[in-house]
Amino acid sequence: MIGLASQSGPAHAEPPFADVAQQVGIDHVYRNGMDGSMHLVEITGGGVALFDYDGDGDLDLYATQGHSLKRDRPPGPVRQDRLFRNELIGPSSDGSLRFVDVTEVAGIRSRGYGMGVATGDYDDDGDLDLYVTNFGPNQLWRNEGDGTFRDVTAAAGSGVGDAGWSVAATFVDLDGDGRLDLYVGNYVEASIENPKTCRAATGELDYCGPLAYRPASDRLLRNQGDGTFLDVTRSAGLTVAAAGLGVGSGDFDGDGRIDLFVANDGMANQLWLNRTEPVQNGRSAKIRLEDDALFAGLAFNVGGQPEASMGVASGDVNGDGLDDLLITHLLRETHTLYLSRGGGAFLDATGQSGLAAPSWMMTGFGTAFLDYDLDGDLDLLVANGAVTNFDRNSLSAADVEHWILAEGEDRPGWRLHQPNQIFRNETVPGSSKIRFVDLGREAGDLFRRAEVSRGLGVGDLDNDGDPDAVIVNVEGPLRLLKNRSGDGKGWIGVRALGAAAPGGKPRDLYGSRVGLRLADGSYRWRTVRSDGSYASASDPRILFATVGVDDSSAGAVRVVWPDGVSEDYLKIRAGRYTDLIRGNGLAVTMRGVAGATHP
Amino acid sequence: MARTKQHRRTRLRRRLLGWVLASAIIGPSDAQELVPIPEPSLEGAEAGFRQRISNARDALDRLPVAATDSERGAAYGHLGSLYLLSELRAPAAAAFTNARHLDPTEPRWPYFSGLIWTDMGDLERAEQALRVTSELRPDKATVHLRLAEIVRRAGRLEEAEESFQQLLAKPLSAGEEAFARFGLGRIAFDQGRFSDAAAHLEAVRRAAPEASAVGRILGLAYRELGRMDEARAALRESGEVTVPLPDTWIAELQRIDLGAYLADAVKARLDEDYDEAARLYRLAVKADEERRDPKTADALRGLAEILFVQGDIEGALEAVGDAVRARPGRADLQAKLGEFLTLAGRPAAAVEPYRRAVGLAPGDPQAKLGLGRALAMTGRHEEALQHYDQSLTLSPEDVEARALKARALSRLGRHAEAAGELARALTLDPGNVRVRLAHVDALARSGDTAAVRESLEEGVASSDDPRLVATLIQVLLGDPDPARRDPQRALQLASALLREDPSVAHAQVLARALFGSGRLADAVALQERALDEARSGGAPDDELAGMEQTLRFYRDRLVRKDKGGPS
Repeated sequence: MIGLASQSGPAHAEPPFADVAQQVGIDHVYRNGMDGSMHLVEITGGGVALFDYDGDGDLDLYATQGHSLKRDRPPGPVRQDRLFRNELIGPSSDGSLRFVDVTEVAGIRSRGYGMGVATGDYDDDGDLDLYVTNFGPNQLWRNEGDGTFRDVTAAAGSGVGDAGWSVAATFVDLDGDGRLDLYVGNYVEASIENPKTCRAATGELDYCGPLAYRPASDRLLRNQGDGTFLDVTRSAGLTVAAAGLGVGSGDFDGDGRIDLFVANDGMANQLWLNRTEPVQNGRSAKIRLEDDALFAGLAFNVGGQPEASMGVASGDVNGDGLDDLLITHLLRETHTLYLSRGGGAFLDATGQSGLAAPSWMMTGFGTAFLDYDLDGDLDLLVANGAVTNFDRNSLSAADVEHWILAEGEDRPGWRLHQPNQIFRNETVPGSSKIRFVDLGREAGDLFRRAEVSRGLGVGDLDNDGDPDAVIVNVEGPLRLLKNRSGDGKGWIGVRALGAAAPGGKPRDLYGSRVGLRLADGSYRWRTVRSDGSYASASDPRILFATVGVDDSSAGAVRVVWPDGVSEDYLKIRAGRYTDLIRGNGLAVTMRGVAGATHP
Repeated sequence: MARTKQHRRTRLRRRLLGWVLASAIIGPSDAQELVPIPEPSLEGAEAGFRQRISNARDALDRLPVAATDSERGAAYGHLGSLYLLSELRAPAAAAFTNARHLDPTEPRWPYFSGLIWTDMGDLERAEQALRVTSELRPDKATVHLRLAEIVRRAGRLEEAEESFQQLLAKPLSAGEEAFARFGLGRIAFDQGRFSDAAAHLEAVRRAAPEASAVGRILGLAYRELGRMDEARAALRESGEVTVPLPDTWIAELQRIDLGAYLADAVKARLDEDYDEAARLYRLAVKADEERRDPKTADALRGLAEILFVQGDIEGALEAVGDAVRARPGRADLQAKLGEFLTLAGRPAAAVEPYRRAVGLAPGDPQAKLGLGRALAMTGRHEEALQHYDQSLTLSPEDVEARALKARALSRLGRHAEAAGELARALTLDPGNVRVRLAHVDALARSGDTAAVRESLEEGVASSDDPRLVATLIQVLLGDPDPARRDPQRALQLASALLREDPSVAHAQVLARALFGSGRLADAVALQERALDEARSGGAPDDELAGMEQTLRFYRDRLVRKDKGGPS
């Protein structure tokens, strides 16, 4: 009837993904501490980060954790966020993918009710640090470079340990000084001590929506280059509080500065266009942001209504060189696709994209564009899970019967389970009409299994050249979706890195645009980012399918660095990952840039 | 006679046979085709809602075998409506499916099915259901508009556009036209025809200026046309109110809840659970936001009465004002508004609603009385008298009306007439202390002091109210005619009064009686005790000052008496 029944397209021999979490050593269950009080926080965590913390070339995994919300909770160890080290030896087509819980060894002592996580090398020492958002004080974990982390929250400046309710966060260089600033998305002002009571239309106790609470202000922290951050929230222009749940960065208006998109729950989204003046004489400029979401067409849906925006996916889904946006929403609101028109203007293309019907009865959280089948275009993965028990009453019995529910999951008071979805991009090259198809049954039982999914991170965990995914489930096992579609298909993997500081190591330059040159001379563009999705951080490496590449263009990659400087890198080998270090490429002339980069 | 009885028996037998045949033909075959209605857990639902669902299900079970399909369809339709109102879509859809099956001539059942399927994202079934509805009610524009909207949502833009255009060629209400234009605007927008989109959306703004959300898509259309200033202006002025589609069937449906909430509210009120009653009244009001049902005004009135009792005067006035706006032709609501305004100290504002109440219900003495009271409170006593008289003509035994008339007469200085009215009132209710005191006051003001004593004696004989006794004591002590004074009786009455209720006030009455009886030292002693008692009881300063002044007076007289002077 809804998405599950709307399958089409050729049947695959086997489903594209398989859950291997248990067999590779990951046994994480996000516990929300629910006790029947219906605290909103119970249904908002948690998140995951896919990042190479030990610099060994493969993606490790950090997962946040909740805990009991009772004020008089029993003494004993509080549940911890967990860090799993990837012990991969070579590509894992041979099945060597293994994870080991190194939480304790790494010195991770999470103290909060975990929500999300952001990754970035904020201290420019060449290894990835962690910022963990909580319901309660957040934590900044500095990577010591020796396999351990240190909690530097207090020393990093006021505001870093934001004590509100944060979900989304991202490290992003907004002032162009080469250092990663930190944006923290805060949700609403809620307390366990003074809970709100909300009821369904029948009078049944249920979870409140965000509008029952006062929205919280987000926070912008400027990196001062000495290991500390300065809270510049107000001076940067962030003066409007909104119930933020998702954040994604990118140069959305094409002016060479990295902007921010903030997905707000039940109220207008925000597109913070970066109006910071360029760095002059080595002096950092004051960060200045302006919300232009209304004019951009991103604040509301095409009917002019605010939606319950949760997760954010960003990427060029129609091959026009511009990053588009997909926002996940509450049921009866669709997963909404906004196609970029350039210059910071977007148009809601959900109706024509094939996404509306299958997403109508789903509540989406984590989401990502990924070329799972290595056919050259970006497909879409969405982690779903309802937010009110009552939503189940809107579904037909046929749909629910089609789902796979573990015994005891579908119980009164906890009926939020929904299946996740994967959509294949079937846009005809050169066509102006974007087309996604819900894989439905073709995606296998993994996508019939109804769970309460939230965070979603994407990355090539086994380094075999196709994107895998990790999904966090509330009160259910974390799923590691190993991609089986890319076997035998051509790919090129690159990492866009800034030049290393003296004595240091190079780091990912978020916001860089990387283009693979195709046979017809055009480029397939991707953006270096770890943010987006919901409460999660993804692999910043870029994966290209080599579809559309011929001998003349093989291995030609162009990088447009965040400051607009472009370089070409030639003869990049397929079937492996290559570091593209700034300054090591061939400089592209202005004519070249004008002719080959942004349309 | 015998033949007649036989004939009746034959008729009855035939009728019974017909019922048996009908149930044999209709019942079993239908039962096979009906779908089961899911029973979602209502464990945490409100008791009232659970009861309504239970009643509706019981009603289905209790339907006689001979019930017609139409009756059975209506029972399923009612159950579906209850589920739909509480957003329990899956059981609602099943109930409407059965209702449609049993009574295919009723257009509302496929219509509600269509709305549910639309909500559940099954546009194909929604379209089928609405097409059935449109065949049953080809004249109902709302159905066709919803159908066109479903086709638009299904992505068949050209077909939807044609439907909307055809509808616009027919006579439509402003709201319906706005809805059709909004559909056309969105189709044009999706097709990249931004100029057409802007034209349609501008038309929507003209037809439904309250639909501020239109500005959001209109602004984007202007942006795409490069008309940036207009784009910014449209976006700046936009809001969240979407384009409404007037829908009488939905409004009717929502009013099912109204009656249920209203009944629950009345019960809560009888149980003196006023907070719950107010909540239920509010839900009842919400169930009919368009204020179509007469019962909504009852709910508003009930809410107003509770709010008034709870001290939320402004809330009460707002609620009763809403009730009047919803049903301006109801005299009781106009009178209630007048009453609340009067009690809120705004008699001038109360005059008009009372006048409307009198105009609407000329035979209602209470409305006339209220109008008279409001007029009197604004000083218009002559006019008030006219309305009191009219009220008394209709209800001559209304003691309250006579008292009010007497008060108006007194205000006009016509004390003897006032006393006459009050005497008539007292014949109807001799024990009415308030009227008795007013009567005494009117008699005193008219100078008939003999009658004052007489009335008080009558009053005391029929009531032991201390106010009457205290007044009589005052008269016994200070009658202008010294021959009628009786200090000893006053002393007895005052002593009895204090024994009955040993209050400061009664102690003062006794002190005065003692003083009037010449027992000045006792009077001073008792007044001193009363003053001490009043002080320790935290009496107000002005009251204490009055008592001190009286005490000084008694002491002064006592000193003079001791010195042999006149007392």
